[in-house]
Amino acid sequence: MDKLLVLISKKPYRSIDARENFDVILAASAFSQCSVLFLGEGLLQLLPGQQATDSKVKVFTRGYAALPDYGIDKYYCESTDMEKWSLDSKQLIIEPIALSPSETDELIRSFDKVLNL
Amino acid sequence: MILLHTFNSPEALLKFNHRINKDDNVLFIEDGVYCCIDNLMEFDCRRLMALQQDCDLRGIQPAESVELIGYHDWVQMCTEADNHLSWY
Repeated sequence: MDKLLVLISKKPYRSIDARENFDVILAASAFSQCSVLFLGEGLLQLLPGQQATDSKVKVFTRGYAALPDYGIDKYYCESTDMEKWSLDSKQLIIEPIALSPSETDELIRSFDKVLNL
Repeated sequence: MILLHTFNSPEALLKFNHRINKDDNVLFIEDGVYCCIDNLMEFDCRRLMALQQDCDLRGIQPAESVELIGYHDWVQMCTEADNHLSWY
């Protein structure tokens, strides 16, 4: 089974993309061994306490908490991004493993396929 | 291990240029070709390329350090690279 790394690098609500991309992760998990790397602004998708007061918007990011049920249990982010927004990994929707920039480069290179969403 | 990075805008390059390793190949496509005239190329890489069609359309004449390639070359690059990272 191919090892797939999905990169999440976009903020959650600017367009429908981020939500569609979440569905891509779910679908991909059926065909490959999937891990997720949150990069840059993508990490902001994991901020806790997201609430929709506008009924047209759905808080899709809660779905990340369900990813272990889809066999996806490895999440990564960059420690520099955590520091940039003063985030504590334990408070996020899921707890990603924080990597140094060089570790992140190694991680990206260790997968068969990389998909940047 | 060779990665092919494509950038489709100067913003994408600004955000993710630190991902480029000196052994990687870099290709600018779409609005990314504006990077060629914007002094944004502060990184080391193996081959630095821009898509000829996209440069022509925008009237961009890249510096000599930038190789101009076509769609067929791009396909070739993809097949030769171990992975293709699309930054957008």
